[in-house]
Amino acid sequence: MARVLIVDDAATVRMYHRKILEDCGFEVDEAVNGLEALEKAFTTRYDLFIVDINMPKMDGYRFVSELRAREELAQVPAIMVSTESETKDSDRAFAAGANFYLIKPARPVELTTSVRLMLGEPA
Amino acid sequence: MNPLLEQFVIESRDFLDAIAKGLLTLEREPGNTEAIDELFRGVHTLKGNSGLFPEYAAFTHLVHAGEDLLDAVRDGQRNFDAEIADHLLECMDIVSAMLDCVEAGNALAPTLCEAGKELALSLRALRDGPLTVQPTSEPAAAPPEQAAETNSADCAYSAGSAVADSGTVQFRYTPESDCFFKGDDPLFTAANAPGLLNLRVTALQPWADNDAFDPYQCNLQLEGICAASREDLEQHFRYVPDQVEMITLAANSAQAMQDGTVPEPDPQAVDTLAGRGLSEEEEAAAGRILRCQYEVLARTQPDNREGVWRSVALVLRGLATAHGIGHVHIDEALDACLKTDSGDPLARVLDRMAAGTRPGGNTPAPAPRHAAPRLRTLSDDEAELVDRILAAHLKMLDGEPTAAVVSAASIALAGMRRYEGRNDDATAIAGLSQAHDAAGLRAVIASWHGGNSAPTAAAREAAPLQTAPPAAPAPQPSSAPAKRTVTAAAARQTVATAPAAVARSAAGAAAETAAAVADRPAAASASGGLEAIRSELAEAAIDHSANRVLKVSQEKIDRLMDLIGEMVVAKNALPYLAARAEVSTNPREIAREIKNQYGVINRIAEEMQDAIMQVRMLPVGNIFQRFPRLVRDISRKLGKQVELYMEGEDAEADKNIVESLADPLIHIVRNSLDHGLEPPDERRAAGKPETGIIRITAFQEADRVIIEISDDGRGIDPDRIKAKALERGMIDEARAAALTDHEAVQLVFAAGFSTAEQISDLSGRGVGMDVVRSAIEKAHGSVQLSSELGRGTRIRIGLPLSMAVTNVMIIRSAEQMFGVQMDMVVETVRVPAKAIHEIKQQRTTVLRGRIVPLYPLNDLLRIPTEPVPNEDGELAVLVIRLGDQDVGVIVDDFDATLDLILKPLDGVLGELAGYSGTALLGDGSVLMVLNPKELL
Repeated sequence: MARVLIVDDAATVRMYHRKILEDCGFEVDEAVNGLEALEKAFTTRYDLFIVDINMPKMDGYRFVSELRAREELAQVPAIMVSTESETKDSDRAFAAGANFYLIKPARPVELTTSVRLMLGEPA
Repeated sequence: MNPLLEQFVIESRDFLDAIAKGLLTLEREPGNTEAIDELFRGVHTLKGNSGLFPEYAAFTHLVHAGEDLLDAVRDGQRNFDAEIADHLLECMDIVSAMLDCVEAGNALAPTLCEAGKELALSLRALRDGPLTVQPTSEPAAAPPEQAAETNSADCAYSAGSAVADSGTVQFRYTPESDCFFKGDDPLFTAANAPGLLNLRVTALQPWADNDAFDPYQCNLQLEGICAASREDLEQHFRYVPDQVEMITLAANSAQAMQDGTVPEPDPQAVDTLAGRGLSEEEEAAAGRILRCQYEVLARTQPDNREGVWRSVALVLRGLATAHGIGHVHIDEALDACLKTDSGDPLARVLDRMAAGTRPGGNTPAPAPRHAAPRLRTLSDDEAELVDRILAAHLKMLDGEPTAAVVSAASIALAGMRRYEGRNDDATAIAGLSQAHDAAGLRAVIASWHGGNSAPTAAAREAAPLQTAPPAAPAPQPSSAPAKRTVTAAAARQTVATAPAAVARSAAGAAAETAAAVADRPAAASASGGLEAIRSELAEAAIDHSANRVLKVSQEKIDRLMDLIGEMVVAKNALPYLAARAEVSTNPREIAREIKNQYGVINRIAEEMQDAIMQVRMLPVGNIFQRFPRLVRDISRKLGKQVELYMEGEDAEADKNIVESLADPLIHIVRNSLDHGLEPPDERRAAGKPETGIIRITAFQEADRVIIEISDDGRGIDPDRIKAKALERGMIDEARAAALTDHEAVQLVFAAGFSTAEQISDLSGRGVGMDVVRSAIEKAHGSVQLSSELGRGTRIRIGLPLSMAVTNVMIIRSAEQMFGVQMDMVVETVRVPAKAIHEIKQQRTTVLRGRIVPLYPLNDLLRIPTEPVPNEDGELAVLVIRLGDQDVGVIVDDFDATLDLILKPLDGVLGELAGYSGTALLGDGSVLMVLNPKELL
């Protein structure tokens, strides 16, 4: 089963996304900021990242650019998830190399379908 | 409470604490950008979290207002002042009260919502403040957005008469019948629509009999009119876009609906929607609304048809007005219906209006994407997401994306093709990734729904290609709606040329790829650089968060739980023993039982103490993580090449110990870099590898944690140290001659000693190893230094695992009890009076061949009493290690050693340097613990 890393500083949001994804059978791991996510990504293979934007230490933009700057992680798809006030920043997310942008809170079916689509794994 | 809500409450409380603190900090230091960022992030995350719970919309709304204000502060549009602080603090107070409601499992109290709404308005006013200074000649109504927000905060099923001047939208929300299972709350969603003016809820189908009634199926239709922009409504209904129809009404039609007046008809009345220059989307929406009206008309019942006709007419009027069509004929048709008691006149109007719009029955007109055969039929949800993801990828590939971005995009696109069952296309897309062909990928996206992934040469040239036809020679279609459809012939053609196209684009892009790879920044090629980022980002963070939260493994807590269980059982034996003692005639037996029970409780207490100590243990690695950055920066500055090795980061010690280690360690590492390691040419000349090595190792040895820092630099030259010490008058010639090399090297620990010819700005100005030593000794640690000239230096730091409990020896002198810390005590001896000699008025004795100076404790404490020898005429001497020297303290007698919790002296007593603290003894008396170092 595909393994997804949720990168978000808010424990509540992590819990919400984890539940949604686990209910669909994905293996889920969590990181509280971009730096921790990057560390985890070096030791564990993930198939997709779900990334918040505003986080301490390393924000989502930086994390995605760091991903794209590293050969072995570059091609892992990343979905940015953020609150609507940041909609204007979606362009910045794409410029950093994010594959998709969802508004938080993402509707369960929206989140799972996006993940499935990008991984090419229909239910 | 459900776990998610529970988590939300816990996390929110943490945020509230941090926000309150942040606000106070900011008030003291308004320019502290770090504090503003942190504060903003807290409020932002709080809002994001609450967004998960639509039932607490008022909560989200209020926090959102606070966030916007802080955003303005962060951007420098507003100066943070006491007024803003007051408002935000009040905001957090209300939020905290709301959290109480949430925690109690209740809905938010209406009074709180009310207060929150008011405060949100004043927060917004504060944010917009002077910027919204407008000519006050006209009493401007609230701007639509603001009106919308005011109304959306909570349950206003029918909000007042605040009709905005523009942007009135009618919506019809028909939830799916199984919507409750998808977590939708249609009534709540509709009732919270922005700027809601009116809401009507009707049954979609006639209600079933009681027996057949299924409460889990939604049978509702919700219609409403909102004074808000269409975008706002689309945003509001973003989770159910396929279930909502919307039409934009002219400004006055909503007013008309409210007060019953009919707007002026458009003089140029045209009664069909076709040819009005509508966008594809608008036309489809209007078509859907019209189709619904047919349905509505077809379902009239004798008792409701008049109302139904009026509602249909209302919808048609709105639709007509929105598109600049007059509605005299609609009003006439309604009159005709009412007169003839038949819906036909309205149906005829419908026919005319619908003429030329998309045909279709109950289901929406098939979108072009369904035209091409699919191996897997996507649901509406999926198809919609596919379109959104494709749009996202177009943006992602916009401009000059790096090879990495191209490959990330291609992986996801290939995934989507696989999802659809088009594995061949997936392979073709992967080929494009290999070739770093961004244009090719853009073409793939543009022609996605045409069914082929391989780009043609024409498509590549035309990128970016949102609207370009996929086949090269395709004639420009004459009708606009055809822009996304692909003719079957064209599709076949491109499929046939696919492999060739891939090959061509791959070859063509090969050179491009090579260049791109070469262009990539150096960091891209390696997984490394993480250390650098980590220390770059982490160094500041450690200082902030080091003592905020102690993370403890589950295991340690479990052990505590077990022990407390045992303790409860053991304690229960005591009342039983007391009852026995009351009636017993055998006190000796009772005493024995009490002692037994003491033994049990004592064991548990000791284990608990140990377990609690464990909880405070932190890995020393916590302070190691800043070294890589430190070493990198300094070595670069000095032009030296250094490799840093760290081992044993997992070794644990008490939190206080670990924290007290940080500064001395940094100092030592800096010294090594600055004075120890040589520049590359000097190393080469000495026959050493150009890259020097610094090694930091931590491990546990008995009850101490040992940290060793070693380098392979030039070592410390004992002759230079001696010369320096002579020069500074710290030692005399004779002493210098007598010093061994090892002893000479130890002089670096002497106060104010610095050997660097030129004081560098890195490893201190006169602050030397003496500071390191005193910091470590303060934590009851020890430091040893050994150095070999030309080979390197090694510093070994030993620290107790814990400082919380101190092993103390009790001594008696002048009929008083004193304590001395055991780690200072070398030994206790009885010295016969005749073995004590007076040399230069200093009492001394010889112990194991060494001369040990003796000081009576009474003299040190200015107690005018002589030490008391025992019956054999021997004096009790406590031998204490002071630095490198052993010193004897004459006391009256030795007593037991105890583990005690030392408390430092407070207040006025704090100035008594001769004591290191006090401790409570078992009988309740206070023991003064001596600090021999200060006394001597």
